[in-house]
Amino acid sequence: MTEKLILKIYIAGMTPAALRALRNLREICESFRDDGNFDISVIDILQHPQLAEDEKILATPTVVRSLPPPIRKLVGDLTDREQAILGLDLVAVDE
Amino acid sequence: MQRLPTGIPGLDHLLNGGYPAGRVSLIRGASGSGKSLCALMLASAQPGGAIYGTFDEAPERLQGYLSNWRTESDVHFLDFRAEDDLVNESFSGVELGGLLVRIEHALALHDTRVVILDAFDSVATTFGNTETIRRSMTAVFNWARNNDVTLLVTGGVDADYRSATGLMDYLADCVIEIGQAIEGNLMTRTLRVIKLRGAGHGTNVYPFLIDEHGIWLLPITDTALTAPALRERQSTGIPELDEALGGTGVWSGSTVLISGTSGTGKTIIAAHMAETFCKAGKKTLFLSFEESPQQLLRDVASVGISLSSAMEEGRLFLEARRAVERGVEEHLIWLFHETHRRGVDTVIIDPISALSDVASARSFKNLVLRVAHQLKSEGLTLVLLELIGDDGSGQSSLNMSSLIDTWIRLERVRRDNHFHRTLHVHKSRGSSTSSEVMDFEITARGLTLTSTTARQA
Repeated sequence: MTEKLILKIYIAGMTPAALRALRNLREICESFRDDGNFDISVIDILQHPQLAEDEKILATPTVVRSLPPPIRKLVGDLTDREQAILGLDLVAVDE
Repeated sequence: MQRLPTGIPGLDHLLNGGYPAGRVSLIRGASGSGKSLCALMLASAQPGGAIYGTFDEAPERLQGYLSNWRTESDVHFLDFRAEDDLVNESFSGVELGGLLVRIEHALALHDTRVVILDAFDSVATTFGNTETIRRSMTAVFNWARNNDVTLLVTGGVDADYRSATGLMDYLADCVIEIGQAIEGNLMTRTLRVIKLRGAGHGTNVYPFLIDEHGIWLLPITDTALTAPALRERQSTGIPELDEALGGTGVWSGSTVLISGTSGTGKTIIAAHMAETFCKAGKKTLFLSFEESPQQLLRDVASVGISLSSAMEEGRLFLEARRAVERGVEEHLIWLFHETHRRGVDTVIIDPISALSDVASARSFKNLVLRVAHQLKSEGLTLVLLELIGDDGSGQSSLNMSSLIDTWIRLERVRRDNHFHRTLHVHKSRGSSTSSEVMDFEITARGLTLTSTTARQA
């Protein structure tokens, strides 16, 4: 049993880049947590501007890995899968 | 076009009333040129407050600068700096989606319409993808225009960089460039209004100064507005000199030159005038390029002139500066700034010739002209002391008699195996003057002037 992977993705509306980022993120999560032990919260800052302020979000999409540590933050649509896996530090939690 | 104050003394005048409301303005300058300080001063001067988005310096630091000049201000910072822990993937698909969202949120929260984006172009360094940045910048410009938001952006000067980041001049309605000029080893900060769409503006390169009170620019006031000539005389405190000047002293608002070789008593006369002016309720700034305030006070006290009570009462401001410390422009700006800050009626410069050491002949003459014009237009009395070289020619190097209303010349002449100090009024506009050469003595009780005719009688 792996530790639950908790991720947040900040987007500014459902832009093409936001959709790509979501699709790529879900695909990566499924491959690293094939038991489905992960949770992705989508935060649309157009609806929640104060959350963008609190997290100091400038670029979108921004993906935050909240749990388990280490906390990681990366920007972009995650098209470069290798870079994204490295950025989210997912190699270490691989079984 | 509606204008908003820039908060920078002199700049509003240059822009004919302020920067345009509901438009986009751009301040560009190299790093260290003072862009952020300009932006901060402007932000703190907005009547309805401002949102200040910083891409470079920490908000806490900016807040620190701000509190040096303003005890209270309505500036709300947004931290747009890239976080250290941010992992840059390949940046594909990056948009600055948070920029407008956070700005709009802050505008609504703080009920203001003024937005400042300081060092916006540094996001290009963070996110690499300049095309994205350029699109975002253009989007912000358009958003501001369409929403009646007043936007001020600061950025670098390099043309390629500017076009890459979208901070191009044609996108903005008002463009101000700030820079630095080096003459000798002295640096002068300069400012130029490159463009102000739909309105006239000053086109020259203007010097400015940054000090603990903020940013100061010349001209501080409208030089076209000349103060009405004050038909009032001020006693010099020396009855015989007042008499020689045609009655009761010098005209208020006039320019007085006292010239003489070293040791002829220029400073003593000027200090005496300062004491008398202050006693008459005037405020005087005495700028010494030769002596420290303590030294000057001691020297003049030895001949019975006491300046300390006027200083304690806040009527006399004694400032000592070294001429070589700063460039001509900085001396000038400082002087005007100081006269405004102190609200003085009279300025005494001892000696103005000290500044000829730090300037070329032309820029020195230009300096004296500007000091005299500016102070006269504001109705201030100006007393300039001039040290004349001991080369025997006794010629004034200022050579600008037209500028001077009253010229008092001091000399030392050899007579009966003694050197005597003499004084004569070389010219005095608007007065019937005595052209008599008078003997002038400095004793522990003060100054005495004796008519030579009286002596011969």
